[in-house]
Amino acid sequence: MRVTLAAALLALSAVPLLAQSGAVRAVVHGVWVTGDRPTGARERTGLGLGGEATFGVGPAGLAVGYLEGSLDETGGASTDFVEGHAFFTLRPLRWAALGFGPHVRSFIEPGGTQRWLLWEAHVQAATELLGPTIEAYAEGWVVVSAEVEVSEPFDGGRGLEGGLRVAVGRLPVALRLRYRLERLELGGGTRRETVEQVGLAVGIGRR
Amino acid sequence: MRAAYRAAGLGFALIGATPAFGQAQAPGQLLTSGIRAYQQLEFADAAGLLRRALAAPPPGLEAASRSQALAYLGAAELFRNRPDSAASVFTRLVRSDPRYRFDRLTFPPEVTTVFDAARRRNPAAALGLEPVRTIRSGQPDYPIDVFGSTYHDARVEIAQLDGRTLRTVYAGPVSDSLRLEWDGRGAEDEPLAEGRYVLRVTSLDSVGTAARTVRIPLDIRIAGVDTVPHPPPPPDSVLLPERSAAAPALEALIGSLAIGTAIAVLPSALSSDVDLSPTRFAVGAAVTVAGFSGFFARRPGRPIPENVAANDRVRADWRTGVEAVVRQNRDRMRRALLEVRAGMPQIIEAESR
Repeated sequence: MRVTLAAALLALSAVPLLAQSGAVRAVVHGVWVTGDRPTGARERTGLGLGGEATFGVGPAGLAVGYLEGSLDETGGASTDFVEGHAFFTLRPLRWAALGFGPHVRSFIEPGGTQRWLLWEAHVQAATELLGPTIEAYAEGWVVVSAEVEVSEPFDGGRGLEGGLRVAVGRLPVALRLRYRLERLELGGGTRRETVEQVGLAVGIGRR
Repeated sequence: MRAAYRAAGLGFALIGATPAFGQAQAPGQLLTSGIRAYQQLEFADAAGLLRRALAAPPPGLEAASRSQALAYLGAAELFRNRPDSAASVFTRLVRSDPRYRFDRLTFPPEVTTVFDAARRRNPAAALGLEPVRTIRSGQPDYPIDVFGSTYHDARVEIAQLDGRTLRTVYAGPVSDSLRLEWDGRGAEDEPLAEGRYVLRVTSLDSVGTAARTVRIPLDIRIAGVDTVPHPPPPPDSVLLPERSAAAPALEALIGSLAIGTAIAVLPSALSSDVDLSPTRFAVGAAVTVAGFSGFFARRPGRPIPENVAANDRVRADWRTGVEAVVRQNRDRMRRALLEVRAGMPQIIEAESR
């Protein structure tokens, strides 16, 4: 799974060369995963590293991302995780974008690998704070379909993200600071999974 | 009844004898009678008739008839042994008509000699101009005929109404006649603007003092010129705003506040049962601070130097275009068609004369 995601990401990363616009970024995320289930709460924290790429032709585009890292649990074993996404995007307005696509996440634990496959629909709005140099954005999404390898049936999921995009001088280099939160509910509300991330991305290209 | 006829006849006789009845004769008839009396050697009668012809109220004699009347009057006075009066009459003749010359077949040498002496004493010039003439500026197309009473020095000038000389067309000797060509230009060879000017001919006496000046008003109108219109100033749609508008600053402020607040607050609403990381507050604060920075950096009314510079370049380009057109039009104006209308001459004699 990890090798497949990385290969797919590398392959897709070459596509921006052919696109009208695009960006490639390296990302580092602080990750907090909180599982609240009938057997008790489970909190894990860790750090993830990865990359993102976006490219577009006109208003349409594709956004892909990959992140992997390790989560530590107080009094428990560490867990590796890998996640990736590939969203088709549409930017009908300068300040608004829509996205849809799969978002996969795997937790690799000694007892086995737990995989989440979430099909998400995103909507994003952005506003310029200082011309095109600094931009703030907010994004929300819902999980429209999911395959989660847990015993509880999937009920629904939502998420939100917000942050800043900063262009560095006149260079094509851009920084991105983001906070994101995912919330999944399973088993008729008996199990709740919350994934919180704070990330910093550095890359070439603005969007 | 007979007494009544006598009274009526006396009345008619009195009316016929009054001066008003005699003055009712046309000046032309008086001139004809005066010349006839001169030819019959009745010089006193001739002088009287001619003086009455000359004294007729306006419109009086035409210019040519007036000159003729003065010529016969001077000759008659001369033959009445009144040389001073004859000289005075000839002086009047020279001044009013410098072009006049005696017919030497009609008048004997003793008359023409006195007249020639009067001409020499009274240097004067007359001008011959077309009433209306269209010329091309810069081309010597406007004829000015100068007729002198005698050989003398004269200046022909184009002047402002206040007397300031714009152009000296000619300065030099004038004898019987001289044709000059004016090119419609004024000072420093520049084309004259539309308006009223004066063509001035000053006759100088033997010591170079102005003896007599003839002023003819000239109305100059530009009859045709194919000038190019100035390029219009750059419209507002071309110019960039030189001061920041309120909208972007407010958008930055409101947008950052909304997004920063959303980042800080919405996660708690979405996951109220989880103790979330406080990092969201840092990210929300960063967004808000960036928004405030954007607001102050783009505060309403702040000068935008790059736009000011860009607009300055646009305006400079426009001014360059205007200057080019001005140069082009000035060049075309130098070749404009001018309509020159000559007015009635005004003669100014030197006070000492």
